[in-house]
Amino acid sequence: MGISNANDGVVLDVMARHLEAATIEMFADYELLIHAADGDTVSNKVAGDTEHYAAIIGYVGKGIRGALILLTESSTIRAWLKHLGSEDTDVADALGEFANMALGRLKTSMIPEGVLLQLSTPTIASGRNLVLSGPPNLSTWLNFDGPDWTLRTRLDLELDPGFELKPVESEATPAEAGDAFLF
Amino acid sequence: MASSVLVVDDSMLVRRQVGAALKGEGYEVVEAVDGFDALEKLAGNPGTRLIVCDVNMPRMNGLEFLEQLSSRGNSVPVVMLTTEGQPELIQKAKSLGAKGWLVKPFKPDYLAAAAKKFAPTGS
Repeated sequence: MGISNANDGVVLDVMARHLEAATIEMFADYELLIHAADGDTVSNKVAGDTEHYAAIIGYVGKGIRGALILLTESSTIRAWLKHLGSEDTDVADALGEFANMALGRLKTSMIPEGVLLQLSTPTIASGRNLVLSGPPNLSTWLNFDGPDWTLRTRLDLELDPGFELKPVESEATPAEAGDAFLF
Repeated sequence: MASSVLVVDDSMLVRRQVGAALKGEGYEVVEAVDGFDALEKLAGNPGTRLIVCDVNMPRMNGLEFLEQLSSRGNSVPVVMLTTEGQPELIQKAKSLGAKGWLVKPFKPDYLAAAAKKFAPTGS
């Protein structure tokens, strides 16, 4: 993780903390128990010659932008789909949707921090010996271990000079995963 | 004849999961991958009783789809199903005519309850 100044590091730490919780909760909602693993830095060239999939989603807000990358082996996604009873679903599509849900939860978590984000739709890369683009100065890897698989996530962040989190107390609470409202 | 529900989402995984939940409740399911596709499928399926629609999609997102439905005078009830939880977005969808908002991952019971409210089976 490269930090250009202390405040930028605080923002990245806050987002990483929310992302870690969001990812664990998301999988728990599907009864897939995972835990945070050591946050080793993954080389831009994904080691090994097994088939990997990477889902990339961009996000942007006022003075803030970046991307979330979910990276794992194709066999991991197939294990998720088997667990969900959706084995006929395309693995690329599935990883994109998990990335979408993780980032959606991060977005919700950032609303009380005073940050409103807009999300792109997922882009998927796949193959053996994948090479990821180099990260910006603000970037961190969060790794998660499942029963017999590992999911790696990379959170990239760029901030305008002077950007600060400005926690807000809103009367309207953001809706959370699983919530339902009928009008 | 079973009530028909149009499921609009760019994710096959979500379409299949929603479809499975609704078929289990006796609904017939038609799938669309974005707002444009949904407008075409709706035109080809005039008996559609309910639409379950994502928000973030390529080409035409869920809110733009709601605007299109409104401008065409289409009154088929729409329930949004999304990762989004931002209150302003929920209010905007409501003002555009949405009848409900479910946050992914959805609870099948809640989806079924919404379907039964807006598109009772057997009606």
